[in-house]
Formats: sequence, structure tokens, C-alpha cells
Amino acid sequence: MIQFFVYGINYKNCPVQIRETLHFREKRLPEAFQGIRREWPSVETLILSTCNRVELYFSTEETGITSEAVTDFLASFHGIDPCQFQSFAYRYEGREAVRHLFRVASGLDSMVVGENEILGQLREAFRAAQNAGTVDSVLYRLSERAIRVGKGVRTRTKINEGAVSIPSVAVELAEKIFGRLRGEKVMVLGTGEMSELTLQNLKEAGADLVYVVSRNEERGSSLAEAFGARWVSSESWTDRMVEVDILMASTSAPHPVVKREAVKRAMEERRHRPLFLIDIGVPRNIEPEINTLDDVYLYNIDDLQEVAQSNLRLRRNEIRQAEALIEEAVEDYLGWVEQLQAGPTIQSLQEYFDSLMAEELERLGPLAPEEKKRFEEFARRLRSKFLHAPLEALKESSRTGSVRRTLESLHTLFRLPVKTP
Amino acid sequence: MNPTLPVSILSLAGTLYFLAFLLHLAAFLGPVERANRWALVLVRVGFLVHTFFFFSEPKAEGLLIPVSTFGQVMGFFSWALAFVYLVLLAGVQSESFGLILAPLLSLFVGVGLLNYDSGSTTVPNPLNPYFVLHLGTAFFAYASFTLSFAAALLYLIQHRALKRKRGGSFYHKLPSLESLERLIYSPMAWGAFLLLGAVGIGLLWSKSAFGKFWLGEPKAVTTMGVALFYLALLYAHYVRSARGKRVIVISLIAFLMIFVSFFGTNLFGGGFHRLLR
Repeated sequence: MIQFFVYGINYKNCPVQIRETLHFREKRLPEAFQGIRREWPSVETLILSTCNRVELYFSTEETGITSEAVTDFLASFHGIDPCQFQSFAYRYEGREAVRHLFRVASGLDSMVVGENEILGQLREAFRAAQNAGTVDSVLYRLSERAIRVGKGVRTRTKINEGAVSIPSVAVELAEKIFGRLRGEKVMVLGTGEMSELTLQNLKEAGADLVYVVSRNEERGSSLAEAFGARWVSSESWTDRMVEVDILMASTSAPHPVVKREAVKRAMEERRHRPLFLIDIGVPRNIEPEINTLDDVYLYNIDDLQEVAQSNLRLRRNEIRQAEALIEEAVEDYLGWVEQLQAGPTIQSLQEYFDSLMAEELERLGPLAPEEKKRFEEFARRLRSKFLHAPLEALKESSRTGSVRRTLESLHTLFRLPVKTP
Repeated sequence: MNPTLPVSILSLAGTLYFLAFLLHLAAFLGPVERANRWALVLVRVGFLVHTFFFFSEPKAEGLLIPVSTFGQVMGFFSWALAFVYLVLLAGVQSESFGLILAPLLSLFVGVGLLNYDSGSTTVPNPLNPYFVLHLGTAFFAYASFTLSFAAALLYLIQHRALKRKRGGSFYHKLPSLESLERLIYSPMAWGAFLLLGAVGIGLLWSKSAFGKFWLGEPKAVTTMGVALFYLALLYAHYVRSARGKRVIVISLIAFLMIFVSFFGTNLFGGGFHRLLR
């Protein structure tokens, strides 16, 4: 019988240091597949290895691939002590394993619910396994189906709607104000790590960093250079406010450096062209009253976090609907597997009946062509009527998940030889 | 042709607009973004049916553009609205804007159907090309301003959502402020241009029909005032680069002036336009 299971560790309980050591780098994947082939020659395998999870999916006719054996393989491949990760590992089998993969593909098992990256990572894992030739009918179909389920859940629910990280919320808000970003000018005050990350996101979305304001010229110039911008001293930046569309502040100043009066003046000069202010400094770098000015949209770190949380809540509300879609897909996939498992038995049953018929026709001795034709027609009709009931029973049991018992009964009753799908 | 057939065609157009509205609503409330695209297809089909209706309608009362009853005015106005959005504003359309447009179209068609009797007009020589052009340009202008008004309302809703710093359906589903601005100013420019045209052509028609320019006619005067107001707004936006909430609020006031000009002068002002009632 076909068995599949997943063995892995993920971000939920396994520390990042251990995840890092167990991670399969792209270059070493072929070697890993070869190792698995050597260990278990007839299994189908898929390795999904990301920064948040390392999972090995197996489909096999063999019994007895124990968790210990997989643990040993991982330990020897990565050269670490099994005790370091064994307690974090999980194993799901059969239906649970299928459901798990579909949940992973849909982003329901991700750290950020509904994130899209995992679907691309699964696609890559599938491609790598295909290249290594370790996926055949069962895992091929399972992986393909998982990717389809992942896409379906994202289009039929709001599971991936709205940005959920600070930098992506900033980009989303900028796009709500300016539309698709096409060279909107950005000025940044301060050179904090978070501001760099947010700038990277804004740049990727199409904005253009033009000024970096910093008291430290060296650090400011280095950041400016990295983004193709200009360094501006902290004494002369206010005049540039008229030119920019997005101003981000992330300084270590103990008091607000962006004042309402300055922004008000700038807005008059800008003729109220919208201005997006992002304050990720703690304590705040931009006077909160600025948000009362028309056409100025000020978001501080708490506001950005609140939007991210609200989007995350929206996503979580979609989980139930996503789970229902996944459950439907699990049933569908398992139905297909059961039908696949029934195939060899059906073939054996047909062959068994054909051999009986041939034997009986042989016993009749030489027949006139007319008579032979009539007997053959009789045998054909009898075969089809005889097989109808067991085939229907098999179909029904593959729908209800009891195909294994039906197949065993057929094998026992007719002493059918065992064949593999 | 069966006399009830044209009205059935108009009902079909109204139904298509309404179905488009339901699809937009589904896209707004749920995750089915694709519904917006199907809704736009339905609005387009509805518009074609609506156009066919105007050709199939009996023109016994002698008006090329049917505006002799309130129902007919609504029917033609909704067609003009769809025309402006689908044809004149083809470059600035936004999928989610249909959520406002589709219910307006189905509402106007629905109201039109309640009272769609063929009326007669007291207008002398209603087939005069000046008169037909005057009516057409005026209706297209009003339709353009209505679209601009709807976009301005959406702008203020989105502006408020951004200011309140909370996510939610409006924030996610409405277009960006930038695209809404385009949906405000493009039809406004068309509207001002068409309204000026309507006033000018109307004057030419009054000269050809009555032998003198109706310069002091209340509706002509107020309409001219509205057109100039809109022109001033457009000047502020396109030439002086004025943007943002304040200009948009002023555009809402301008739209209210249209109401005063359109209905107020009919109700209280007297003048030649009463002939059309």
C-alpha cells in the first residue's frame, strides 16, 4: 500500500540556530536526494527547506521508514548530533501529511499567515525534486495539487490581503496615496536599520530616494550612495521638503525634529500635493499634530503596527474558509490515491477472470468459427457482468476511504497476486 | 415594433447594470476581485443594449433625444453617464469605481422606467440640429460632473480612512487618492468644455428658433456661472497645480450649484427652459 509521511521541524518550536544547521542549501540538494535514494531506493521524496522550516516528504510502498531513520539521515547529512533537533521534530502520516502540505502551501502554517513566499519556495522544492527524479506519480500529483490549493486559497479568500510587516505597510500606504509608485521622491532623516529596510521596500516598489539627512556625514553618505541619493546636512533639510513626496524619520533625537509649522509652510508651497510622513523613530521624530494638516498623512511606528495587526486580523478571519477549501482538496487527493491503489487489483481481477474463461474455452475443444464467436461473445458478457459489482464496490470504497479493506477482501477471495501501482 | 418592446429593452439594460452592481458588491465585500472585471463587462453590454434602446424607441413625439418626460430624462441621463465613463474616460477608469457607477446607472434607469410615457414637446422645431446638439452636450456635461462628484466623494472617504489610520474595506478596496484625483479632474474638464458648448449652442438655437439670443434666460445665466466656476477650479488644478482635499471640497460645492442651476431655475426661475417640462 502507498504510504506517505512528512518529517520536519519548523519555526514554531525549533530555534533558528538549529533550523539554520538543518537547512538544505540549494547546492547540496542533489547530494541530499542521492543520499535518500541510497538509503531508501524505492521512495519518492520532496525536500522543502526554507528559513522557517525543513520538511522531508516521503511516499513509499515500503514499511518501516522510521522517524529515527530519517533523524539519523539528517544528522549524518548535516553533521550534527540528533539530540539537538530530535525533540523538535514532528511526523505526520497519510491524511495528516497531505493536510499539512496543503496548509503549508496556503500559508496557514506560516509565521505570517497567508504570506506568498512559501508558495514560490514550494514550487522551487518541487522543481528540484523533479530535476533529481525523486518525485513520481504520487508525490508529483501531491506537490502539483498543493501548489494549486495554495493558489486557490489565495484567490478565493482574503488570506493574503493587506501588508503585515512595517516596511510593507509603509509601501502599501504610499500606494494608497500616490497610486503605483513611479519615481515618487523620498527623503529620509536618520540612518536606522528599520529605515533602510523600509527604503529598500519603497525603492523596489518604484519610489526614488533622493535625500538622506544625517548628522553623521560618513554614515549618511554611505546610505545615500547605496540608494543613488544625496546626503543633506541636518541643518538644511527643511527646504527640500517641498520637493519630496515621502519623508521618513528614524533618528535618535530625543524630541520631534519635524515641526508642524515647517510642514504647514511646505504644504502651502507644495500647493497641497499630498505628503506621506513615516515616523519610525522612538521617541517620535515628527510632531503628531501634523496629521491634522490637510493632505498630510502621518504614520508613526505604532500606527504602522496597528495597520499591520488589523490586516493580520483580517487574514485570520479567513482561516476557517481556507481550511474548508483545504479539506475539500485533501478528500479529493486521497480519493485519487485510493483509486490509484485499486488499479493493480482491478487488473489482477480482470486477468484472473480472463484466464478462467480461456481455460474453459480451451476445454470445449476445436469449435467451428461461428460457434467460437458465440462463445467468445458469451464470455465477454459474463466477464463484464461479473466484474461490475466488485468494481462498483471499489469505487464506492475509494470514496469513503475504506479501499484498503475491499482490496484485501478481493485478494483473499480470489487469491489474486500482489501488484504495485 | 411592439410598443412595449423598447421599454423591455431598457429594462434589460437596467437589469444588466444592476447585475454589474451586485458583482461589484461581491468584489467589495469578498475576495473575488475578478468580479470587478465581469461587472465592467456587464456595464459595457448594458450600455450597448441601452444604446440600441434609443434607436428602437418610437420617435413619434418629434424629439430626436427623448427628454419630454421625467422618465425619459432619467433614461437618457443614465445613458450619457455610461457613455462618458466608458468612452470619454476610457483612460482613467478604475475597476472599483464601478461600485458607485453601476448602482447609479441602475437607479436612474429604474426611476426612468417608472414614468417612461412618451410625451410631447412644445419646443418649436425639435429636430433642429442646434437643439439636438444643445441637449446632447448639456446631458453629457451633467453626466461628466456627476462622475466627478462621485469620485470626489470616494476621495474624501479614502482620505478619511488614511487619516484615521485604520484598515478596513474602504481602505483596501477603493482606488488610490492619485487615481481618484484623475477621476475627478478628467470628467470635470470634459464637463466644463461640454457645458460651455451647450450654452453657446443653446444661444445659437434660440436665435435660429426665436430670432434673438436668449442672453438673460435664468438657466443660461446660472449654467454659464457654473461653467465658469468649474473652469476656475480646473485652472487652479492644472495651471496653478492646486491639489488635495480643499479643491475637492470646492468641487462638491460646484456640483451643488448644478442642482440649483438645473432644478432651481425650472422650479422658481421661469424662462424658456420651462417649455421642456
